[in-house]
Amino acid sequence: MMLDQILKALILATILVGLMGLLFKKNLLLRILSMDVMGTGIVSLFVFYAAHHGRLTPTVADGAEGAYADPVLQGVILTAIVIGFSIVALVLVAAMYIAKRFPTLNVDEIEERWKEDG
Amino acid sequence: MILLVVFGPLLAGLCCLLLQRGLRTIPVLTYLVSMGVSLFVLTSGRVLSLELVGSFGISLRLDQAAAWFILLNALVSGAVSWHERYRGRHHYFFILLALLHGCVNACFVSQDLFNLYVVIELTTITAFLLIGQGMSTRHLWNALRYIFLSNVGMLFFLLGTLLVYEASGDFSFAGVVQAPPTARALIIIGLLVKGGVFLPGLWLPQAHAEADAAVSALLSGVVVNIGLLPLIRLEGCSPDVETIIRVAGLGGVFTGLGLAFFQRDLKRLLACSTISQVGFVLIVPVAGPIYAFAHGVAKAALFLCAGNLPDRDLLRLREKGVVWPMAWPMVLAALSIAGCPLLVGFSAKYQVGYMLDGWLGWSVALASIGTATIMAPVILMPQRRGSWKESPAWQGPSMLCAALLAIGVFAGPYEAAGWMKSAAILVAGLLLHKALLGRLATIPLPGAWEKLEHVVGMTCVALALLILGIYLP
Repeated sequence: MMLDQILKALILATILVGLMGLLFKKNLLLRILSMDVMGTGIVSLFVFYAAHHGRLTPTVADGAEGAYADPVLQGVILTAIVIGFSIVALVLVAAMYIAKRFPTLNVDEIEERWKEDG
Repeated sequence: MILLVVFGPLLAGLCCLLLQRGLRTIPVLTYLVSMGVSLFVLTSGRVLSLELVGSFGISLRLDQAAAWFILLNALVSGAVSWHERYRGRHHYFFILLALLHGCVNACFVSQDLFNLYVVIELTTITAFLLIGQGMSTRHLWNALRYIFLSNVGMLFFLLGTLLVYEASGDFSFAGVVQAPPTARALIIIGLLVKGGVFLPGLWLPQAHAEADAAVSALLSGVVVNIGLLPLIRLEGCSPDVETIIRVAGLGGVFTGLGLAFFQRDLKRLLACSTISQVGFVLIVPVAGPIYAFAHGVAKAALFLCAGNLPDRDLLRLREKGVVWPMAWPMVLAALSIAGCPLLVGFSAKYQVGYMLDGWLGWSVALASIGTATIMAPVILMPQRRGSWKESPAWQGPSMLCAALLAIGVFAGPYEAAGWMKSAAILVAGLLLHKALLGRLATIPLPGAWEKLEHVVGMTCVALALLILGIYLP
């Protein structure tokens, strides 16, 4: 039980660290990575809650009983993982193009200069 | 029929992608199908629903509220693709338009939180590709900001969804009532970010103003609504949630108005007016769908017109004047937003005003005068002679205005008191603009609050306020 609480605290800390990075990092790349860290934290929280009632792999079997993990949460989170990674990929591509035009990743500088190019 | 509305446009988009032809006709057919289905639901009063695979399956439901939104989506998509047909657009534009249409329809019919998360993210990705399609730094930075903000909002939403599942055992909207207050706050914040309401919606002016005119029309007319319909559905679930969302809506109304008074740039003015209009949608959930319809159609027409004007700066535009084939759809759409009788905007405003009394009714009337004031520069735009043969650009907005007029004449209440009230509001707004508030536009606002970190920060502040607001009473 104690271990569970520690695990949950660590996961929540991951989400918070991601959020802080999102707000305070000046580097565009690090900011995008922070977004991914926050997403990973939320995915882990899904997995954590799925294992609430047990950790056995949920399988279809006759008369099988035991402490199974919740298959709905585990199934559903797969979709969210795919969405998260595709969004990070798209944002990184956009960031790559921007960084090619003005050789900088500093958000403040981009924020000042994005109007220069039509 | 629901499957046709959702998968028709998606399939059409894929077919066009594979075949590389039929780009302008096949998607338009699917918009017509959406329009037909939504009109069928609206006129017959039936509710279409579909369950895919038993429990924990996906349930889709097309009711009256969703039908208004789907009709709006079909009209705007059709008008935009007509407007852009000869403009040398890359053919991906039309494919993305069809995909966006399908994804947005899916948002309107989905009935559970997780499904909603998936389709909203899908819409976000499609909208990102549309905004960034020009590939200049302006487009890319704008698209990056958009997807960044949306993704932060949707991460909050996902967290809330998990907490709702933990409390109630499924993902239905009704489960939100049993969920802990934090879960409610997280879900509402996620949807407010997508809907562009109040503090979480401060990203909206720059995103909508800097995109291309056709894309702005889609974003302001259609895409903000994917956050609004779920919020309207949530308002129906419990009175607590309703109060919170209505307060946020009222805050959004006045924030948008306050920002719009200081805008010199036409597109930024329209974007700020969007923030205030989406607030109106949330104040009265029963009248929300028709209000969102009226606003979406009119705003899309205004943005399409704004892309064809000689200048974006309002003061210079007043000197140059606008040729009349472009000016009349603009004036009609602006009048509809200001609530002029015989247009759909009036029917919507009437329904909102009808439901409210006391101080809320007065503040909504005050906000309506404010709306008329910010629309005044567009309504009073000097017109210039010109030929309608010069450019076909007036056709798309005119189609939308014809819809505004037709549904307005059909639906509009013919009641003397309502007409007098709306005329008084309109005249008061125009006089206020002439006398005083028109001059505010020359004062430049500081622009630092629009930086990415501040906009994300405001979302977090709003989340903290919401959680405090739920726990304190």
